[in-house]
Amino acid sequence: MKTNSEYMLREIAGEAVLIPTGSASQQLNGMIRLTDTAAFIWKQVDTAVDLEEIVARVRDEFDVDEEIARRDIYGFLHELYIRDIVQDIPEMDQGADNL
Amino acid sequence: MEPLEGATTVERMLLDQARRTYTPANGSIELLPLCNMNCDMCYVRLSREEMERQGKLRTADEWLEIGRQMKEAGVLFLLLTGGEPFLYPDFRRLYLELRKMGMIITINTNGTLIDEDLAVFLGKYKPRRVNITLYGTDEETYASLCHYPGGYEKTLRGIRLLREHGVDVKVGGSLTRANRADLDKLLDVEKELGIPVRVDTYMMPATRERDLPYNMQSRLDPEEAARARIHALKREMGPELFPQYVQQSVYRADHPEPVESAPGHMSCMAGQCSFTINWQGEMRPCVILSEPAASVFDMGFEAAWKYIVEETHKILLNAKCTSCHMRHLCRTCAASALLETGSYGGVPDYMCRYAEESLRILREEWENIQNGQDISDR
Repeated sequence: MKTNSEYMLREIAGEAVLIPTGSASQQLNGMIRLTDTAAFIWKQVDTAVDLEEIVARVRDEFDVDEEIARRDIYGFLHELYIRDIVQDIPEMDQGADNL
Repeated sequence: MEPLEGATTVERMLLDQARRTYTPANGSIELLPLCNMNCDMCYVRLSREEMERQGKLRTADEWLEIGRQMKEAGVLFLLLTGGEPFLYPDFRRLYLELRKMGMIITINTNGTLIDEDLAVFLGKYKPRRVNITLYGTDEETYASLCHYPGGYEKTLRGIRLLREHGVDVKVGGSLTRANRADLDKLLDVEKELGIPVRVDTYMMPATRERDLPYNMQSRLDPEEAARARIHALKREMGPELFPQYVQQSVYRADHPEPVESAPGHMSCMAGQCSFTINWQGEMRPCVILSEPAASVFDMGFEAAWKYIVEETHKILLNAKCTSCHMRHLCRTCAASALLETGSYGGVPDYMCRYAEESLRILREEWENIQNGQDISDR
């Protein structure tokens, strides 16, 4: 599981934005504004072993119900995965809808 | 002058947030004063000899060091301009490296140097947008105004190539006495090439013309500029949006929000979240203002920005303008007040006449709309 190295997370005036660099602009020419939680999830992708570890880390950081955290994390990362913004997530290959 | 033309909702939200925190999120770098064209009204262009008398071009590596400092300071939107930026040596390396730093880059160009190879490059590594200035709608204007015969066809070719490679393009034009008859032809380009066109009808006075009567200046007189602006807005907005704009503009003039009549601070983004740096490294709040200024190469980016913010805050505009019921129709700003009247606190007669004429036309339009008439061009 890893983030696409052509995307950069930047914090501008307290707002987190994901910016395509290199040729990633062919897929997305613009930027994605992330909430604080989404930015936190993004930062876990390169170091977590699997999605369940991200769920655990999010629950350590935020006061959130486990099922809601799992649904939101899978949903958010699935949106990025199908756009090749995050890569190599075996769980996503099985289809996020079933998770 | 709008600091980030055609900004999306998210971009505007980010800039508003940046303004509240004095983060320099938006900036421009004038990479060089050289240009392959030589337009009569240009206030930037220098010949190579003139440039060399004033200094030398900064290298791509020098700009990249400033780029690293800009990234740390929170610069997100960066406009690369000139002169003609595609004449800058090492442009592509500089452009790619700045993008790798997470800058979202827009390019201002005259479009004439865009060939297949450059269009392929920009199609692969897309800028936010390429802004192309169209100086006229035929070769005659390019020869007489820009002293660049053949420039019109080269510009159109550049636009087409960029579109073929999926690069966003926006065309901008300025209306002056010399091309006043071309307004509709300029606006027609939008449909012909399938790209947005924005024609500006207000031009700040050229230094050498400031003391001449309006009818002897190369820009339009205030009433004609107002009429042309609303005509252009009507075409840009179309029959859905234009009536709403008319209604809101007239309502705001008749029901002004109570504002204390006191000298106001600059309301634009210049010096609050926006800056410009010229080819020698001098940072200023916007391209028009020559002061305050600070060298990013001597002071470093962060210190130069801090100085610009502090000094910009000292600039005060006239109390009459701050509380005027036509403020929303008026284009005055610190730069305009300075160039029109000689001081930041002046009330520009040109802009008062421009706003009065705008309101008069909009009232006529509103009357016609209420009477159920078709909105016709006059």
